[in-house]
Parts: sequence; C-alpha cells; structure tokens
Amino acid sequence: MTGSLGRRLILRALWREKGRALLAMLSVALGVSVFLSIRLANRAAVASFEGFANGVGQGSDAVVRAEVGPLDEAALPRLDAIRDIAWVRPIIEGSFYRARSKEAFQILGTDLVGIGNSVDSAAPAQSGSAPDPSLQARFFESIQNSDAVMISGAFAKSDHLLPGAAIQGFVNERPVTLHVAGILLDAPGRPALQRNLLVMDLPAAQETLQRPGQLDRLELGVREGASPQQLDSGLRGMLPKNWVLEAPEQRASSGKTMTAAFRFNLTILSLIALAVGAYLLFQAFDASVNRRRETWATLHALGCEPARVLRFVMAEAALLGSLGSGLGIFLGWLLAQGSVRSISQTVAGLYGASSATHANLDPGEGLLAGAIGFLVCLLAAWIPARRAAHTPPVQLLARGGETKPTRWVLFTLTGLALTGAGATLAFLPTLPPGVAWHAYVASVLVLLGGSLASVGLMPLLGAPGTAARGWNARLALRPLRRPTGRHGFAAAALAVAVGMATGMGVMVQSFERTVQTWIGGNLRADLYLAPLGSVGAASQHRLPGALADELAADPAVLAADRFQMLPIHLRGQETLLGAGDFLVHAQYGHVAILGAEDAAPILLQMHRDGVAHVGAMASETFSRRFGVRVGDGMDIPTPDGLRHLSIRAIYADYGNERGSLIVDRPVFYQWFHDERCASVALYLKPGQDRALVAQRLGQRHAGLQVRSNADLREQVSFVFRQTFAITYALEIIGLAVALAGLVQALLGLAMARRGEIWTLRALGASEGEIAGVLLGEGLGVALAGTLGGLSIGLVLAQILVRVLNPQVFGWTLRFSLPWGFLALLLGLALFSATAALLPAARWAARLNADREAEEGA
Amino acid sequence: MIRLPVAAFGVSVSLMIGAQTPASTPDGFAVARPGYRFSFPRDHGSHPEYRTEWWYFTGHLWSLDGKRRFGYQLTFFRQALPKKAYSGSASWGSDQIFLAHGTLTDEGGKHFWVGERLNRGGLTANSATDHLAVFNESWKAEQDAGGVIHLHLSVPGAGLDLTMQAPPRPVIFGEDGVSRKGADITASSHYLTFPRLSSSGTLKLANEAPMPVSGTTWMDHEFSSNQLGEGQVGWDWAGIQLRDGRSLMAYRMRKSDGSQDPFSIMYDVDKSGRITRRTSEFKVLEQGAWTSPASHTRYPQPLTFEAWGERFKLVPILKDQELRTARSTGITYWEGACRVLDASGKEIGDAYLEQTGYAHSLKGRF
Repeated sequence: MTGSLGRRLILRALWREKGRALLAMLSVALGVSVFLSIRLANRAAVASFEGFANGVGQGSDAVVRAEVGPLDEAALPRLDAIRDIAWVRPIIEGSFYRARSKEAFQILGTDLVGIGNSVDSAAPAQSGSAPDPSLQARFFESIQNSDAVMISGAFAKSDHLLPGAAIQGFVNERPVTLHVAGILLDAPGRPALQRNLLVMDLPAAQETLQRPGQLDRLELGVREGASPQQLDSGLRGMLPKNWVLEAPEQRASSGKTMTAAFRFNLTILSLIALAVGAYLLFQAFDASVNRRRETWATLHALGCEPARVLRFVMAEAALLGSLGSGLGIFLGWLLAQGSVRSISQTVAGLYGASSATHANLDPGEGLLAGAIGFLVCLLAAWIPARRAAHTPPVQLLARGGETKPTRWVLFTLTGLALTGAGATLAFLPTLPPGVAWHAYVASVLVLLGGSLASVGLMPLLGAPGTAARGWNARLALRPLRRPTGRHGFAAAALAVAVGMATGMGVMVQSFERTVQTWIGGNLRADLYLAPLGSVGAASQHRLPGALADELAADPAVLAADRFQMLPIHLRGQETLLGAGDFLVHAQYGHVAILGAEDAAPILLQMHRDGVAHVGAMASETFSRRFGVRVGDGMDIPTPDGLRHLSIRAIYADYGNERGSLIVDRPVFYQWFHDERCASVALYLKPGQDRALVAQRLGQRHAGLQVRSNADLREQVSFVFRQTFAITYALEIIGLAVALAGLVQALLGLAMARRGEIWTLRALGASEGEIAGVLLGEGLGVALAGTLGGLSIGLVLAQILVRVLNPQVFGWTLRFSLPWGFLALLLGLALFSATAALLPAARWAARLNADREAEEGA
Repeated sequence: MIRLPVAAFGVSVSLMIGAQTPASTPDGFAVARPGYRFSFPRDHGSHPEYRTEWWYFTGHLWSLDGKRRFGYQLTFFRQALPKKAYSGSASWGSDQIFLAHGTLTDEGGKHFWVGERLNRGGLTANSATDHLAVFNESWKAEQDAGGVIHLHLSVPGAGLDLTMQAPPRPVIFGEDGVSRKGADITASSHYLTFPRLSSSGTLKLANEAPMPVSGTTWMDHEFSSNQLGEGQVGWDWAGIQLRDGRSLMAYRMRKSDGSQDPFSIMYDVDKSGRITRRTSEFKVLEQGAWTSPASHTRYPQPLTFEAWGERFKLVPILKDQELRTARSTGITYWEGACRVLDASGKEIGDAYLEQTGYAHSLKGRF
C-alpha cells in the first residue's frame, strides 16, 4: 500500500511535472558540479612531483631540505645509517623553457638507478621471460647521456615525440637541447603525470642546470618493518647543519598554501552557488507542495498520518537530490576538465609550479559534493514538507491558500538584524593574524540577512502602484505590495546571486586597483630582463652574475638593479629571502613603504650599514606571518650559520603569499656567495631609445626575455585578469541559476493569477497587455533582488577587503568602488531578467481558463 | 646471492674463436686470463676493468648459549655498464651499478628476512680499488689494516654487525688463477675465497635486546667479464664447512636439458686453506623437492653432493629461503643455510646452498 501510494504520489507527480522536477534536479546538479569541479581542478593543478613519484615508487614519509639554499650532496653519507630503515630519494629541480611552443617545463632530476629502492616491496615474482633488451638499452640511454630526458605521455602524444626526438629550449638564459630517452606512462589508478614534467637522471640534471653537487631536497620513505616515528627520531640526530626535516603538516600544506588565495575565492563562490541553488529548491518544493495541496488534504481526510505525508515529500526530495547529485558529479567532472586548464595556467602563471591538463574524479571529493547536494535538497524540502504534513485539510483546500502574503515586515526586520550582527561580528573583534572564522560567519549572516531584507524592498517598489493611472501598472505593482512566499524566494535568491557577484567583483576590482597602483609606483626601470620562462617568485631560472655585470656595463645603461630570491626555512615555515641593489633603488627606483613617504633614506641607511648592521625590508605578508615589526631583530639561516638582521621597513607586496625579506645585494652575496640573479632592472641613460636597446639586447641574448616597463605592467595585468577569469565565469553561473528561479517564480505567480488573467482577457485585455502586467510584476521582483543584492554585495565586499584579505593573506587592499562595474551588474541583472521573463510572461498571458482544470488534476 | 652477474645489466659476449684467451671482450672489458698475478690486499678491492664483480658473505651464527641458530647472506655486486663517453658525476656515476642482496634466516623463529639494494657508483654505493671496502647504502664490508673484516647488514626487522679475522691469503680456485664456467673461453673468472672466517658480533631483532652471536662465515670474491656458457640455464652451488676442518666448494652448471655441464666442479680445501683435490666427476642427487608458495617454483631439495666416495647431504634449516629480487637483479632464486649430513645421516657440518635457473632460465641474462 505504502509502496504503491508512494509511487503514485512521488513518481507520477514527478512525471506529470517533468519540467519542475528537471529544474529542481538541475539546480542541485549545478551547485554540486560547480563545487566539485573546482575541487577536482584544484587537486589536479597542485599535484606535481607526487604524480611521478607515486607512479614509479612510493610516496615519501619525510622530506629534508636546507634551511636556505641547496643541500650539499657531499653531506649525504651522513645519512647512511638511516638507510637501514628508510630509502632516500635525492631531488633537484629546475626550469626549462621550450622555444618552439613557448612553454615552461619543470625539470626534475632524481637518481634513476636508486629510485628502484623505493618501489613497492610487494613486487611479484619474476616470470620465466627474460628482460626486454630494448628496455635495458633505453635505461642505459636515460642514464648514460647527459641530455637524456623522460617526458610525460601527454607531452609525447600532443607533440608526436618519440624516443630520440630533440627538444630545444633554454635553461636559465642558455640554449639547451634535450633528447627524449623515454616516455613516462601514467600508472593505473594514480594521478596522471603533469604534461610539463621533464624527468632527468640526477647527474645529468645537475649538469644541465649547472648546479653540480647540489640537491633541492631529499625524500625519505620508511622501509618495511620500520615506522615513520623511527625515521623522524633517527633523522633528527644525524642531519647536518642547515638541513631541516620538514614537518608532515608543513608538507601537506605546502602545495595548498601556494594557491590558497585562489582556492579560497573559488570555494566561496561554489558554496554560494549552492546557497542560491538551495533557495531555488526551497521555492520549487514550496510550489510543488502548494500545487498538490488537494492531494495532501485528501490524504489527511483519509486518515493518513502527518508523519507519512512528511515522508512522502522528503522521499521526493531525496529522489531529486540523489538524481541531481549524481548528475552534478558527472557534470562536475566534465567541468573540471575545462576549468583545470584555466586554474592550472593561473597557478603556473603565478607560481610557475603546475601544468595539469586534466582532473581525475576523486571518489572522496565526489562523495562529499554529492552528499552536500543531497543534504541541501533535504534541507530545502523540510519546511514545505512540514507544511504539507501539518496544515489542516480545510486550510489546504481553501482557495487562494497558495497566494497568502508573506510576513515581509518580520523578514525585513530579521534580515536587517542578521546583517547588522554580521557586520558587527566582522569588524568589532580584533583577532590574531590568520584567524578569520568570524569573517566567514559574518559573510554568511550578511548573505542570509540581506536576502531576507530584500523581501522588504518589494512593498516599497510596489508602493507607486496605488498612484498609477494605468490599470496595467496598478495590476503589475499590486502583488508587490503584498508579496507572497514565491515573490520572496525569487527576490532572495537573486539577491544572494547579485550580492555574491557584487562582493567578489568589488573585492577583485579593489585588489586590481591596489596592485596597479603598487606596480605603478614600484616599476620605474626602463627595461626588465630575466631568463626566458621566468614567471613569478617561484621561478627557478637564474642569470649568471657575469651576464648581469655585462648588462649593467652596457653603454646605454645608467644603472642596474639586480634582484635575487631564495626560498628559506625560518621558524619552521617556508618564506623567501630576496636581495636588491638598495643604492640603485634609492636613487632611481621606488618602493611603497608602509608609514613612510620616501623609502630612499631608509634604503640608503641600510646600504651604508652594510654587513656590520644588516637591515632588511619585510613584506607586509612576512610581517604578518612572522609577527615582526620595524625594529625587531631576526636570525637568518645561511650556509655559514645564523646571521642577524633587523627589520627597518615594512613594504607592500602582493607578489606572493609566503612573504619576503629583502636585504641589500652586497649583504646577500657575503652571506650566500651567490652572484646569480633572477632578474635585472635596467635604468637607461637619458636619450636612449628603450625599444632599440631592448631589441639589441634581445638579439644578443636569445635566452633572455627583455620587457619594457609597459610590457611588464601589461603582463601583470594579464596574469591578474587570468587569475580571476574563472571567478567571473562562476558569478555568471550563479546569476543564471537565480534568473532560472525568477522565471520559475513568475510562472508560478502567473498560475496563481490565472483566474485574474482569464477575467482580464474576458474584459478585452490583449495578450500583450497581460504579458506587460506579468512582466512588470516579475521585473519588480528582479529589481528588489538586484538592489538587495547590490547592498549585500557592498557589505560583503567590505568584509572581504577589510577583514578577510588582511587576516588570511596579510594583504592590505584599498577599498575602491567600481561604479562602472556596479552599473553594469545592475543593467545586466535587469536586462537578463527581462530577457528571461518576457517569453515566460507571454506564455502565461495565453493561459486559458481550462488550464485550471488541467492543473488541478 | 646469485653467483653470476647481474641480470638487468648483463650484455652477452660473442664466442671467441681459438684457444687463446683474448685480453678483452669486444666492448673493452678485461677477460680473466691465466697467469694473473694476485696481490693482497689490492685484489680484495674492486676491479673496474672487469664487467662484473661480487663480494659474497654467508655464515652460520649461534647465540652464545648455542640455543638459537641463524644463517645470513650479504652479497655486493658491481656491474659495469657499456662504456660511453658520458659517465655521470663522481657522486652519481653512470658507468658502474651496485646491487646487493641480504638475508637472515632464523631457524627457531622460522623466519627468513630479505633485503635488496640497487644503486650507482658514487655516494650511495662504491668499492675501493686498493683493499676490501665495499658498501651499498648502509650495508658495508670493510677490511681494516689488521686484516679484520667488519660487516653490517640490515633487513626489515633485523640488523647484524659482525667482525671476522681473515687469514693473510685467500684460496684461489681454478687453474692458474682462472675459474672456467663454460666452453666459451671467456666464460671464466678470478675466484677468491675465505672458506672459514671465524665471526662474532651482534644481532638485533625487532622487539628483542641485541644478541651476541658467533659462528663461521664463508666469503667469496669473484670478478670477470663473462661467466655463463652456451646452453647453460642455471646452477647449484654449495659452500660446505665440515666439522673436521675441511671446506668444500661445488657448482653444478645445468644445461637446458637438465644435464650437468662438464665445466661443473667440486673442490676440497683443507684446514690450512690448501686445495687438496678437485673433480668434475661428482654427482648431485636430488632427494625431494620444495615448491615455493610465492613463486610456485619447484626446487630439488635436499641435494646430496657425492664425490671421492663421500656423500654430503644438504638439508635446509628452513625450507622457505627463496629470494625474489624484483627491486634489483630481477631474479628469483633459492639461497639458504643447510645442515650437512653424511651417508649415515650424522650431522657433519654446515653449508650454504644456492639454486638458480629453476624459476626462470638465466640464459640471456648474463
């Protein structure tokens, strides 16, 4: 009985209202897919060496790095005793720029012979066949040629590369030709290898990168029978000076923090897409329950218990939620394939670290997204289900019950109170850096409160209706004065979507404006030179000191500022230590020092103090991460031991999230004996033609990229736009979802007014006039949602710009209101609403009276 | 260990024509030739001019109270790669590969531990050319100036440190310093042995206090550029230490039809380290079989070596002493500690037995 009743009430109802069911399902699917795709794409984008390492052997249990600079391989035998319980995999990394395709590749050098020691010990017994001699030959090829490289299957396939093929490009600024010795196949069931990975045998990689005797890290894995704890305690006692054991949590987060700011934006957006979807689902279930109120009343009258009715509605929600989540997981995986390229390019552009091209469906991520979609669906159905279960039959059957006005005053007041609470929570407490839970909670409160308060805008917008002369204007605005739940949901959903778009938009614009101002102030040199393929702080390309000297001595050059950057471990965290020519910078350059108008005296003083009293500039992010202020002292690890410096200034820097500390170049040289530099900024003599000098230098040094000041600014803007391109795409998805809800609401409202429509037609109103009335009503809802959304967005933007960014990333952004963007958003929302509502209004205007009988069936 | 060169890196050598032993292989490696002048400690060290070299230690150890018996094996292999212009760096050589196999057998605990290493010449593995000093990661064997050999071995769950006093000169097998392995005249090696090294040290087993142990070790050192003859698929090798002070070394080279190759040989070495007799006319009797549950390989065991009217039956102290070395040589073989019984069944000594070519033919791998 229950089964057949359930089938009749759920499956048949869904089948009869295919359109509604499909829309609800799509709402779930869309939210789930966006959420999932972002997470999958991010996973793929941040996976780099792990893919290769896991493909050939085991993942590591520990990583050893130098506190600063490279590891000296000569000290490796000090770890011999640990090899009783662990294997050790030495790694060197570098960059290769392929001239033909203008692509950056990551060179990964490891001991291709010793890597066999990390292969899973549960290897199968040998079969009777002898080893393939061609495999042996290829193996010899890979270790007995200094230019042999193994490439990913993806690269081999896309560029039709076979063993023996030459790959020409640059390492640092030197032309280098590598030869394909083998193709790395993806291991089944493991993440695909990134396309831009070039694996070389360790000594060949050291030679190619011109870093003899150096290693970047050691990866260690416990052997069978030993534990990671034994490894950890054993290692600590034998590590040479300057070598540090990276904490597991540090390792786990290193890949993630690299893209934290970026992921943060995307995750917030995907969750908001789900929130918008939740509103729509709520609306869909509410409409569905209302439409079948006669059914619920009959069931009540036949003695069906309220709990059973509740179960019917919830079962329907569960069914839609499951189908929608399943579809969402599939769509999410599809979307991830597209978005991973975008994310990966951005990550590579910003950090020079990743080049994933496709994302695998991670079961955990899929389940999480599906579960969220399913729960959101159940949550959205709960209130309508309760209404169906607990409303007395008489009330359910009462005509007009579905168009009962909502308690908009209560909603407005509650909404305003929640928004106020959110704003207070965000701005009042002063929490330590890194803590931002209050800002997240505040954002949710503002979104929720603002969307509720948007309902209160409708009576205000409907108020002119009483004074309107035309009957159609009066009829269009009348429903807004007493908005129903359906009006409310549509406006609230749109408010969330517009609010989200506004908030993110304002933040992005503020960010961009701030960065542009910063760049405008900081980039003063005429030409910027760096090895081809260098992008971002993490680039591993370096110019030899002699070449930098040669550039500085060019007759057209007035002054050269050589910049170098090294990753260092400080107080257990990874950060960057940079060096610049303070004297040149003071004379010709500019740096934005917080709390000081002119940086020159500070720079000059640091230059004069030299190595006797070393002074350094700390970036704002560094200052926040390490809790240091001007005047504080710090001990910096160098190959010769700890060296002391004092912080003389805090400067604005939006280039990286790890923070950086900059010292004068002579100090850096004395401490690290490193003449190389990552880039050189050239100030030309008066009268020199920048373009000509750039052309001349470019021709002379084929491995250098020579960019003018304008080029560099353009590149920074490009990277910036690229970073947020996907953000805008997601905002559009959110808006599209909200507009779909608006159309759904208008159709529902028209259904509710079908008696009125029929009367109007009987009185002689044309279809066009009736459509105009319905469109006016819909636009009123859209306007309320949009205005409400803009207000929400402005408050949200304040939280994002003034609280979240400084707290989470240490970036102080200047809040700037992009009026053009806001006007565009308003126009876009209303235009899209009109475009979406118009056909719906026309369709509704043609509704016949006999549809009533059909609907009631 | 496997007594012949390393499968993964082996290169076959064409048959030489004529009886004169050539000085080198076609690809430039030295050939073991008669008249080689041995000099010690230099010849305990490495000979990079030969393609293949190994240092092989097996031993029988007892706890001080004599109640617990163990066997161990530690073999270091050096294999030269084809000669090329580029040979890597001093720290990460691309011309020499070092492999190692280590095992520990606990008779009472009925446990057999196996470890293997694969590295290149340089920082992670190497061997000195002027004296015995070879290592592969943490595994080491080094002879100090006083002639004492220090050895360190670790396998998952166990670690062994031993010292052993070596006599001034080793036993040199073969004729005029050359040990022939097959019809091909270049299939030969220089083969040195310390058949009885008195050993003592410490064994560390997981969850147990370090245990002093003592016993006797057999050490082989062999270098060559080609070992396996045409048609040979594997061998049974034994190093036997008898209670009466004699030591026997025997290898039966097996052909693909299962017959014994005429180049098989058995030696008798007296207490003082002097070879007293040798014969190719010995017999190997198969008196049963054991099938590995892991590789499903059937090994004929126990084996009885019969020569000079004497019988030496080798009974494994533990049946499962099979090595499956997928991470290094890629060869599956059996090598383990055995008791030696005479014809009457009386225990008269200890031995290490090695059986190869049963899991798969070694043809083409050397």
